[in-house]
Amino acid sequence: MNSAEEPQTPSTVQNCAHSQVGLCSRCKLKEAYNLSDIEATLSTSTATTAENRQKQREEEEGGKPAVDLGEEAMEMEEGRSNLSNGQNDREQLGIARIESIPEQHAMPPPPVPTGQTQSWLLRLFESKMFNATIAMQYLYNSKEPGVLTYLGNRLFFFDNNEVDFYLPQLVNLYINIREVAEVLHPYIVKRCRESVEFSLQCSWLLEAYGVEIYRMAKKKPQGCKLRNMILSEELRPPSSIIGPLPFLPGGEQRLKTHQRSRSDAALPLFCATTTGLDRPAASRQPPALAQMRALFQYNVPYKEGGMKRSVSSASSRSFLVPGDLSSGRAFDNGCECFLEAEPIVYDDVAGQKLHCRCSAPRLQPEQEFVRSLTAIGNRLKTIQGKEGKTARLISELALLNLNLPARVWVPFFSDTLKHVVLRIPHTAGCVLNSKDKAPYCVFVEVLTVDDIHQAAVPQKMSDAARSENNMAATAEDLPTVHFSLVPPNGSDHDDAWTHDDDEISSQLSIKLPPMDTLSQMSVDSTTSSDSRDPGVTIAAADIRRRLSAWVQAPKKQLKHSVEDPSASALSEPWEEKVARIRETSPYGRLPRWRLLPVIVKTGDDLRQELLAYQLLTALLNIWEEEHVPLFLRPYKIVVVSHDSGMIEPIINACSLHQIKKNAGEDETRPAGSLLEYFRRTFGSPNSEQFLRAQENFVQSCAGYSLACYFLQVKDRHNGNILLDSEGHLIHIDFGFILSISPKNLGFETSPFKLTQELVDVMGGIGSDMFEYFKILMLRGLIAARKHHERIMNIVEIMMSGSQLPCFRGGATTVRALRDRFHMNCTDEQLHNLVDSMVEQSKDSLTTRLYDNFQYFTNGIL
Amino acid sequence: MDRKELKQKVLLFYDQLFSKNEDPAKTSPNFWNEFFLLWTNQAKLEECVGRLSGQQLLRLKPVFNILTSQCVTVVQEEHNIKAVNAIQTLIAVVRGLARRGGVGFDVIDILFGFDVAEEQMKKLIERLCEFLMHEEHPNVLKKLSLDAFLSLATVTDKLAENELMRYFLNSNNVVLFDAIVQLLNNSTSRKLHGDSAVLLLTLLINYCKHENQFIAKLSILDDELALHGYSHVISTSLAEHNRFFQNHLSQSESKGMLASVTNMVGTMFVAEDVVLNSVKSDDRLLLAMYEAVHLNRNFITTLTSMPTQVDGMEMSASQDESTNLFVAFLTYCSVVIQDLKSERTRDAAKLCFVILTCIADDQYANGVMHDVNMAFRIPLYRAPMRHRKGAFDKSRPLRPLVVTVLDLLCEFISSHLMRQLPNELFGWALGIVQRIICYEKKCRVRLQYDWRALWNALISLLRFVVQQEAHLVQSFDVFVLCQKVVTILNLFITFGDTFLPDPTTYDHLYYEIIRQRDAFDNLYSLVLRYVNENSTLKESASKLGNQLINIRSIVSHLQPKVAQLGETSLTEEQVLAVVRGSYDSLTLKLYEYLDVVDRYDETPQHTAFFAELVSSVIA
Repeated sequence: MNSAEEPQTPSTVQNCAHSQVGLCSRCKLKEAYNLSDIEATLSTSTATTAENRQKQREEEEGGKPAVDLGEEAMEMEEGRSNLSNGQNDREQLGIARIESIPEQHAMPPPPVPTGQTQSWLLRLFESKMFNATIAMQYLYNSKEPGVLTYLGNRLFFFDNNEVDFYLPQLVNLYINIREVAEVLHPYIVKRCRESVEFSLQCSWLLEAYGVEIYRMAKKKPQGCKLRNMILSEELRPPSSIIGPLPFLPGGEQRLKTHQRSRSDAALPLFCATTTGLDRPAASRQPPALAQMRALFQYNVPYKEGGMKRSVSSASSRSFLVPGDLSSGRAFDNGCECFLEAEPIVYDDVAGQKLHCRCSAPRLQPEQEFVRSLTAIGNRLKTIQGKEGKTARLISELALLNLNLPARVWVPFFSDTLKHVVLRIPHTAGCVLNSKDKAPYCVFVEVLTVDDIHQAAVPQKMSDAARSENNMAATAEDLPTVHFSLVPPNGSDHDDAWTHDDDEISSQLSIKLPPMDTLSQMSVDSTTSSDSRDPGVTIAAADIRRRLSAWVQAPKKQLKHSVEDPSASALSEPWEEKVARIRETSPYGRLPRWRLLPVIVKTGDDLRQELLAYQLLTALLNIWEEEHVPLFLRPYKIVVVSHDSGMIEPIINACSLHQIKKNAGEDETRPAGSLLEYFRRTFGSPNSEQFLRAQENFVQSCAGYSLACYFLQVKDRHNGNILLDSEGHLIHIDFGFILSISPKNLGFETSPFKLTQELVDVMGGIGSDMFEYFKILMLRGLIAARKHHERIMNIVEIMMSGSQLPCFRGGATTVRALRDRFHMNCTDEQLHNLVDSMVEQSKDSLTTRLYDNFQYFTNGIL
Repeated sequence: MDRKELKQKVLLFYDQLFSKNEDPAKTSPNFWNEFFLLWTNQAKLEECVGRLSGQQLLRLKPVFNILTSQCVTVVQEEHNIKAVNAIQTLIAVVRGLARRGGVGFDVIDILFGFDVAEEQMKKLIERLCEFLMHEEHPNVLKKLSLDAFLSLATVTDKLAENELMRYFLNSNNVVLFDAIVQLLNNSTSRKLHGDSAVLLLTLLINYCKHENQFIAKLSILDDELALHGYSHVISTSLAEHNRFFQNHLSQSESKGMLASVTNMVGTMFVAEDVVLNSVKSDDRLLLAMYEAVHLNRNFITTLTSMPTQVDGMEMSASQDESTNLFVAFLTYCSVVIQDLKSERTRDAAKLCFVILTCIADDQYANGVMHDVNMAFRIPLYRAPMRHRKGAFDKSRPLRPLVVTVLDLLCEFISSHLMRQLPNELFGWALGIVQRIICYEKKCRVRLQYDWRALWNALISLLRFVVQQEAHLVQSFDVFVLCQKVVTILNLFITFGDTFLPDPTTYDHLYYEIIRQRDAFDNLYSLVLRYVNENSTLKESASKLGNQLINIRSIVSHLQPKVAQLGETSLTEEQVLAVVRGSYDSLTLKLYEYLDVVDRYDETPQHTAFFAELVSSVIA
């Protein structure tokens, strides 16, 4: 995957002791374990000329000499030299590091050393079993420098996604264990060079997890340094810095203006690299020069008269203040390399992807975007009252909108769905329920693209652009049922309407669902009736009947209320919301338009949520592998700092509290239990829809019961439990896990929350579904026990150096967690355990007590 | 002492200038240099020029030509003080010349000379725009440039008589327009020069409306920041006026009971003056808002946007809700439409309604108005009446914008049932109501609104018209007005299912019709009278008669059943029960074109109105 972008290292092959590409790390490992086969060929590697090595290193660093890494790199080098014993070893280390970067995708199987005793550990590492999970485990547990170095190198071979899952662990290790940081450094640097998203994720995590440590340390620790290094935009893809430089009219000036971090020593080297690539200079010159000129425009004060300058002067102002929302270009880094390049441009010589060549800051736009989202949350906090907050949110989003579209993206969707943000429909945003903080939910219109960094960002369109045509489209999309009393009418007026509509609806690939089929008759009758014809009449009774039918028609969306706007906004069925927003959006006609929901939270520590996400995902993966049909819905988290971040909202779901509250408010229906709600939403208990929903409910309930038990998730009031449109029960808010519970009052002592209400939905005690529930629990428990190390692994690594409240219990936290997997129980005993846990939870007094407590203190039903 | 001498010196220069008909530089080579280094005495210079007779002017034409060309040249130079003086000199000269009646081609000839006028103006305008556009020029110079444009644009009362406008628009339109847009674009320059920039743009647009390139440019302007700037300039001023008026009200209230009784007469007059003043100074703001709303569809999006100030401090001041243009405008409307005593205030009220009509014509704006998430508390002014004091109703609930618009219109209708019935304004108001209902019907928006307030207002209007028919019919066709009312009622009756919030509301509609049946009965007998009398209004009367069919059949269908109850005092519930029970056998007539409203169009109907309005703004 990433090998295509790897620099070529042709000479490394001959240096390797095993004459195998990418395996020379073995030498290091064997050495570390004092393996006997230290080949004679080793010496040849040291004999490699210094020049040769220098070149390799340049290429490995992306055309940048090692000195350029500055103090940081020097320290790294020192650290490494401490590991090894002598000059020879040190040299070899350097080579090993270089050689470890592979040329090919797959690592060839290692040659089996005949007649040699080989380390079991090495055999494990080289076996097919070896994966990122095991690598994490040994990175954390091993103290052997050789093993660490080997693992650091092996990271390069994993699939990016596999490693990315463990990014919080990597970052935490990097911050807390210096030895591990050293071996991780090259990998992280390489990934940062390749990917802006990775860079940002890294810098946010470094900020969030390092915050306590940075505060205490006198000397800048390595995590802080890495973060600064990333944010200084030093780490760029290698190909972005070759090219324009040699043709610069004034190279020195350019360095001064926007490349302060790069030392002058770099300059001749770049030239060498460029010429080395043997590219026809003339072909590259014009665009490069044009870009340079574009850049210069912003700095050169104009002297001559004429009106052309107005444009550049206007834009120069906005360039001075990136992040200034009133400039309208807050998320614009000035890069103009990909203005019209929608199809990915490949470098014709090397066949590599072209990167932006104008040296505009790569991370800044997205950073500013995320920063302005969190800033909104901070400002909302200062406002009292829900309505004030709502009004403010709307106006803040409208302001933000002035700066969109831009090459920014919603972080947690960018890996699965590459996109650029087009617009944030400001009236669709809503403030969520929270006592003193102001989390809010926004819906972001995006355009899916092939590559975020190369796609052309669409031109800005006005909100009003759609409305006129939109009107026609709405009328067209209503199904036409002709009013039986009147002949079809063909007046010119009518034709003028429909002609237009055809065009629009053909462009518009979406069709609206009939909004209100009950009363469409009057729409048609409007135009088809004739006032002079006394025969055209309508029955008053029909009008009223339609009206009452509309009122009584089941509505999935909860009613709008000023006190709790989020209930209505979040209960609107997702497809309807998407269609509605798409219809009103000026960008709605773009075929690759999508809508993404995001919750922005400030003032809350999301690091635990991230941990919970990882643990739930791990559990889910385990159950999937073991074919246990348990349902979990982990929601993605982006931690931006220790007290802010973003959450992926769960669509088509509503909290039990809101469901009950809404049912209670409606006079026409009896205030209902959950079972009542199920009946109302999914039909009679024997209908297929109901049974499917019930099965979903049981599977999710069992899944979350186990998860809550393992992780000791507390604060399980009904505001934190959602029900989605398919009947799945979904837990949110993992602020209290492992060793803490709210106020430590000792509520919620049962293993998990299982109220009578939930049991009723399953069909009551003793019903088939309830038995199925218990069986699922047992199977889930057995599966989780089998792979419990994966769970333990995540928790253990995050515990090191962490100040998170969930680790307050210290070592007992981990021990207690391990105990909950009941390693020493037989399956029979587990069976009994599940039974007793269900029994214990079902009648738990403390659960009820906690629900009552929440009702009285926070009004949560 | 020093200053006085300087003044005198500049006056000496003026005398020297106009004494001979040759270039003074011939005799004193340093003349122009010194001339432009001295502070201009605009008043005196204007007077000097104004005093000259027609013959003298013709004789002095070469001097004027040299003077203006010197001005234009000096403005091009980098010397700011000289530039300022040159601009001021030029303004004073033009004003002096304009005193003789308009700026026609003759004046242009005297000023520049025909052959070079085009080029000189182009140079001048480009340079002034440069001052406006570039950061490095001081704000004083920007302000002066804007003032120059404004004073040159307003030297004559009627825009059409000002030939200078042609130069502003024709040769350099791109530059001047861009300069104005850029001033509005930037939040700091907007604060300083926004008012003048918006006024200038409004004036430019109103010159020769049929062939004005600025209109085209404004209508396609999509620079959101500039549009927001434009919107905020207007909303800030409107909010300012609202606040002023509000303060004044509360001051006069707080004077205490006794004082208020004794000073009753006095305070009433003061209050009125205040209203008049605020209206007077804001005609131009309303005009500016009208042009933007009318011409630019993108402008509609800025109606509800907040100021783009993120300078940290200002954003954190939380209670700046009212600064959104729509909100400020509605509050302002509620003040303006209360006072219709003079021609001028009627015009302002009409302009308010025209703007609202434009808004109600726009699909997007309607969407915004009906958006439940866009809820605002909008204080509305309620005029003093016998049963209440004049005050701002600030306790209004947080509701979508359309609720306030409807409240405003209901209030207008029910508070202006006077002998001098402002027929035209009623027409506008009813048109807006109809547009809103048509939107709701078309888009199935079920607004949670107490429609009874609207029905009552409409029915009392009908009552009043019937009552005052003898008097009103002399000034306008009362049946056309009534038709508009009945059209709206028919929309409710036949299409209520598409936009009413619940069946109960529909029941209440019937209830109100029954309850106030005498109003409809009287109206119908009026109609019959006119139809039988064969009067000139026969046709419109019979049309109205036709439209009343549904209401009359509802009355005749339900009335006997209600009467059957046989009780003298019926409760609302009893009648509603009857209504609910009697739908089945009732058939209603479907009218065509109930929901067809002509879009607002300025030409040709309203051209004269706006020409006059512009003149009054200039004056």
